[in-house]
Amino acid sequence: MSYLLAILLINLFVLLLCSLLTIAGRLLQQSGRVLLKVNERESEVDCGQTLLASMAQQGTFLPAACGGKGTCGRCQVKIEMGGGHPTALERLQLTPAQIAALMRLACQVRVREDIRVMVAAELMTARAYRARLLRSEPAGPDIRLLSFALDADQRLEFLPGQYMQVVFNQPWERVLRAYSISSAPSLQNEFSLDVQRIDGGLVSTYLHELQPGSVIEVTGPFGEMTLQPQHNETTLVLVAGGVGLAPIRSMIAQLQQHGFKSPVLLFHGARSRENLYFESYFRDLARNFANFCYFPALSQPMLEDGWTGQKGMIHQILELQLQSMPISEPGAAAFICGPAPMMQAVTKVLVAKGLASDRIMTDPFDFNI
Amino acid sequence: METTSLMPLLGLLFTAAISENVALYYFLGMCPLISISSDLKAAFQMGITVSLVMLITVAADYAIFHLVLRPLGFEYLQLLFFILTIAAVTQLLEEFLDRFFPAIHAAFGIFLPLIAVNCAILGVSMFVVLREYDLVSSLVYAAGSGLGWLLVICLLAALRRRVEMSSVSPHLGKTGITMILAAIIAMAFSGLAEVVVRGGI
Repeated sequence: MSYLLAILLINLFVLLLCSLLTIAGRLLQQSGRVLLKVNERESEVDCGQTLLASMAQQGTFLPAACGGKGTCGRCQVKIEMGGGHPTALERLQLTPAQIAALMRLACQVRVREDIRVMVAAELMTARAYRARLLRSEPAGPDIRLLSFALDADQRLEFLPGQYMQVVFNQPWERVLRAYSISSAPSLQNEFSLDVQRIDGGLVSTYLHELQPGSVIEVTGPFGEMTLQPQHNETTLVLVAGGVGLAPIRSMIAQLQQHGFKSPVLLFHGARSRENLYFESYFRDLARNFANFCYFPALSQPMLEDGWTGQKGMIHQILELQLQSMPISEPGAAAFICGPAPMMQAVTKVLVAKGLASDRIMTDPFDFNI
Repeated sequence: METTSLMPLLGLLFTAAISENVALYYFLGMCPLISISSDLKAAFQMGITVSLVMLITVAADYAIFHLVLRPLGFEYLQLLFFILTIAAVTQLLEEFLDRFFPAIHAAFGIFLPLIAVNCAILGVSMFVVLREYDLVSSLVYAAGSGLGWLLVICLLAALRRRVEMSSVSPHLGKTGITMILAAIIAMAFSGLAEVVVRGGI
């Protein structure tokens, strides 16, 4: 009897504390509306939430690969009025010069008063979309190509190289992950993502198990590594590591539509042949277009792969190839997408071969923060 | 008359803060003591937060023990109830500061949630019950312990600034030298206790 009473007492106590916290939360919650001005767009938003959430409520979506935890540092905005002082986390993420220039992380700023924010003009084009999965095809052991369709009246306008953020709503938090768009921008009502399943990865596992017909929420497009119209006329070096091929695929699709007017060199590095997806497609492309060259390389080929091509890390292969075909053209540019160490090594090689560092565009894709 | 009733309380305050310091004498709340003492400003903020939460939770735990657990004969559930109370109080305090004192909330930042698992706070609540202090003595003991913890973390942080500029054996590492510093402060504090006892407090 005494034990039962003890259990009852514990439960009662927990219930009491929970109700106390809930009531206190309601009473203490800041309510009311404040004015939020983003560039020239002005609207009223709820008070008390983060600036990231307020801006989403207003229709301005910022990249936030970490989902608003303040660890990726991508939701940088300039706050001209309101917003309080930078938090300890922001002081870690931002340099003193950035803080002096009024930069803040939107996910760490609480909206408590009227606030005026400046964001880069290209971020104003990002929107939230509902995307329905059309196809989910395996492309490698852990890689799937997912094709999505938007609602009939929606159009997605992006530049090759940009990425979308997939929103995965858990009951207790909203998880966001960035995936590069791998389809050509000409397909305005559709887009595709190349998703590699990461061990223990929440969103990648969810996307891999998604059935055709399912609807997900995405925001975007984001990203500064983009293929511009002038790139059609210049020599391009495209370097991809593993599933970092996704944005490069979008670029190649665009360049192919223009018939590869100038030389395009694609270097794709993967661990084993299974991970070297789209190999035969690119080999065919290289046969059909004289200006397109394809250099695949495996870092750890297995015996059963029957691999007779290049072996080694992709930056070594790049160095080797560029010895026989130097890039002398002044307008030449490079796009690199892959794990951070690979991008550093490749950048080093390209700079050594005479490519200006401001013409080397990179996009790290390991966002598992 | 007043001096006689105040003296034991002053003695208790001194014992709690210095001679039986919760961090150095009982080794409670060591994790934040080692990890946050690398920066003096953060150490001071953490110390203030611990003191404040300690005072509030001891009052709350005292009330729960004497009004609920003891009358019902459930003294053995104190650990569970105290932990729950500390977690709830920290949460409430965080929401309260966030609403009314956003500047203080921003300054405390991540320290408040960390305190929910600080064993110094739980330890002081348990000592108060174990030693059967009355309400006033409990609060004095909690205030003393909080101040003592604040003092130790600030002393350590100030010393570690110097340590960074001196040559320490690499085998010792940052944690090792901090533990040695803590031990020296502990010895100094126990020496102080002797002086005060002889002095008559």
